[in-house]
Amino acid sequence: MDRMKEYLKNFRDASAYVFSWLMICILVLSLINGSENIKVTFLIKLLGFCLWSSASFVAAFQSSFMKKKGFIVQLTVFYVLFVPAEIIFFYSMGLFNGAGNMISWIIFFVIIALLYILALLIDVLIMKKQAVSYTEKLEKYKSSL
Amino acid sequence: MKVEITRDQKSEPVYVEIHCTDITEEVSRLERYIKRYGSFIPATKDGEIVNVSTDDILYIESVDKKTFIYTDKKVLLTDKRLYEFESILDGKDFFRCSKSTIIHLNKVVKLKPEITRNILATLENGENIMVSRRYAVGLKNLLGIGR
Repeated sequence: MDRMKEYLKNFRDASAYVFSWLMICILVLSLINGSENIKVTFLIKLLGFCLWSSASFVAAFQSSFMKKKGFIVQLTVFYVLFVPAEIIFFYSMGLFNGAGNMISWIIFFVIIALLYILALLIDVLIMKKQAVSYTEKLEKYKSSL
Repeated sequence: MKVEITRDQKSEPVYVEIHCTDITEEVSRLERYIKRYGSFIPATKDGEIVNVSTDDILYIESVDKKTFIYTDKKVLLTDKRLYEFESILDGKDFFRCSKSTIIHLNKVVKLKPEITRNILATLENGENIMVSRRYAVGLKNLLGIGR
């Protein structure tokens, strides 16, 4: 029950945070473009997008089960849950002006792939090395007990 | 080191005395080892009261206001709270690694820092326990990491 409460609390906070920020971004973008109208259907889709992304984030990063799996597994689960929904929402919200063109989608996928590869590289090149030194220190500590 | 056993009807069932010229680190380690030898914690398993040796504990976790003791083969329920365990258990062997978990450092076989600044601790039985950011600093200080 406590875990469920924690999950719902994190979900509420994440949704509020994401929706507020995206609303600010959309307002700024509308001001720059000079468009004065925001459709209710667009806002509903945006809210749906925020709710799904928050649920995915909390499930992948905040749940006690996933916390034991390590960052790369958490990130992979988040990508699996979030990216397909992101594509559907981006398409339905018309962020690329309908179906968009090949270049916009390639840029979209390259950004996603780059972020994932960067996280993977940091994990493999830096964190694994540090893990060896942390474990050595632990063994030294245990032998001193 | 010389070990001597003396039969004595008057003293406690087993009475250990250390004679040394100076209290060195090794002597302190020996004292700690003897003190924790045979130290048990009462817990329940399927309604039966069981004494768990502190040496067998992998970690202690609080879930839904209940505290569970995890050993290699058993999960036992105890009425004690985590803060009580913090004062009962040896602070050198056991470490509070998150709001809800105390981990037995002797049972940890691997530590892996994460990008998120948490530390993933792998136990002897292959289970992973997360040392949260807040407590990771304390663990690093305890192990002398970053000095």
